[in-house]
Amino acid sequence: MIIYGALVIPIVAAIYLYLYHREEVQIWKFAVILVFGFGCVIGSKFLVQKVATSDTEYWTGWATVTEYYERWDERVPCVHETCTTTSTNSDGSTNKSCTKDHAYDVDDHPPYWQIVDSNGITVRVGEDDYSGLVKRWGKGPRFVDLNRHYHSIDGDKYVADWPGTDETLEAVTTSHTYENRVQASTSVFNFPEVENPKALGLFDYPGIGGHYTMASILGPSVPGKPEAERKLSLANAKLGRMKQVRMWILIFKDQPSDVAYQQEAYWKRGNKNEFVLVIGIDTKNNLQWAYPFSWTEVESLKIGARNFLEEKKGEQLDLVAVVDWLKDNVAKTWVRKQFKDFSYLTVEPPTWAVVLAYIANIIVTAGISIWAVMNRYTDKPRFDFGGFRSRGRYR
Amino acid sequence: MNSKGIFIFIVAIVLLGLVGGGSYISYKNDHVRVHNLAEAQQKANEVTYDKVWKIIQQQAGVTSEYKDSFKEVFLAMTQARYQGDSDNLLMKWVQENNPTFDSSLFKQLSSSIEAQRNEFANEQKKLLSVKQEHDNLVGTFPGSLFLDSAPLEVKIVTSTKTEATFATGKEDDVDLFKK
Repeated sequence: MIIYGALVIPIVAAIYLYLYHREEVQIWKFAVILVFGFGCVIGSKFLVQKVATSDTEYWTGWATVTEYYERWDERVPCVHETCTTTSTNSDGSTNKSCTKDHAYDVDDHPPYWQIVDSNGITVRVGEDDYSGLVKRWGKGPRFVDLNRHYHSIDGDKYVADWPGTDETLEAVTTSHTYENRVQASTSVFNFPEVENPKALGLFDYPGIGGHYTMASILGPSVPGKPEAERKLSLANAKLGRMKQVRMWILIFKDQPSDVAYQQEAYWKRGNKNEFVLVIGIDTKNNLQWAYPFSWTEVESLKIGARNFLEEKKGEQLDLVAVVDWLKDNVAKTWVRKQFKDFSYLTVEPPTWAVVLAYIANIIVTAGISIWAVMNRYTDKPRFDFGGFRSRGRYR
Repeated sequence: MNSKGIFIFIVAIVLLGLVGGGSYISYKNDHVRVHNLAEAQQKANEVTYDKVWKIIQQQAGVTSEYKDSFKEVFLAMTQARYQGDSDNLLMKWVQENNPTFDSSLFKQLSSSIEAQRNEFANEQKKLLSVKQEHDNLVGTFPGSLFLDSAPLEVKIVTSTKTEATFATGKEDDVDLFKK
């Protein structure tokens, strides 16, 4: 609430202008200074709150169609003005005669490629992605005439459909923002900031690569990892929309189980749709410990996952078996936490944001004040037509 | 003060009044909402606690019943099988297939206790979070101008042992398996 202290700035500015520049500043300009100043403070408060509570989650689905839109062009109406000098005045200025020609330009639309995923989201991809999918899906693309009103290049589109088999399923990950009030609050549900996450070897979110691909298993290479990654991607794709979930497996090699708690704090228990299973192995890839975390209120799922892995403690990590257990049990029991449950949490802007709001308010108020003084208005009329006088002018 | 000064004064007062009035209404509403949420959460905790104990008790009852039934069946079967036949009893015991005791019910009970306990702990944590929210609302400026600054009273279920530990600041009783 300290941010509202910045409301004093436009009031102080108005008082200053009243005391020292009363003649130059009209009455309505004071209203402009106060209204803009107040608006700036309130706008800053809401903007900072929006930024602080904004978080990114990842949705997973699968490509249902891939499309290629050919290059095409079209006419667009436009007006071109042509001016010619007709005469020169005694003071050197010229008189011009202008005509407006109604014509057209040609807009060129380059080709592009895209996929539409099972969540109904369209993702632009590269030509190679399109070609690769068409090849994997077997059937050649079908031609669709778009009946465009083209100029000289008639571009249409080609569409290839997913044949519906697991082998040809292409997982698609897209990022979306949502409101996460917990991360910006001082609530008991929030986590302390983790210092030096890189030094601790904690994982960042890997990011979406190649337009729509995101790994689901992070950590060192272990036997069976590629197969497990493919299976988990498939499971994430299929359960993504139906169960609103994204599963992660994070593997730490030769680290104590404390690192899992640090990872939980670093990711602030993950996004609202995530189930994260952290696994510790020794240098010979033998399972040492497991720790799942998630915002889901289905505690039995977390305990079940941990118990499943604890029974295999000391054995070689079988990632494929872990993925099989995860997809079966998540499909059966997962329920996503509704983050609207946290709507009661208030968000106090961080100190840097308060300072920024004050600085922005000072700049805006100073700018308007300078404009108000410099852009003076004089009572001296521009014209005097006998009895009629204009009421004043800017100079 | 001329008309310009009066105008500035009025505009400033109107704007401050709008901000102050808006804040007052907003704080009053937030206070009521968070108060109601705390009451609802307190009740929800009671419901969760009741559910936790009923589930654990009934699962423990099923497990205990299974253990007793298994014992009865196993003893009865063994007695009937070896009555009047005292030759090579040990050999027969080893060779015959005997019903095996399924320990999965105990594992399930153990997991259930932990899951239910965690769920209840989360509910209690939420109540504490709501209390924190309420106390911040009424205790910090400008909420403290408009609202009764008394902190919210909530009931958190712990145990005599926990309360004693926190009261004394000492935890000497660390033997898990007392015999």
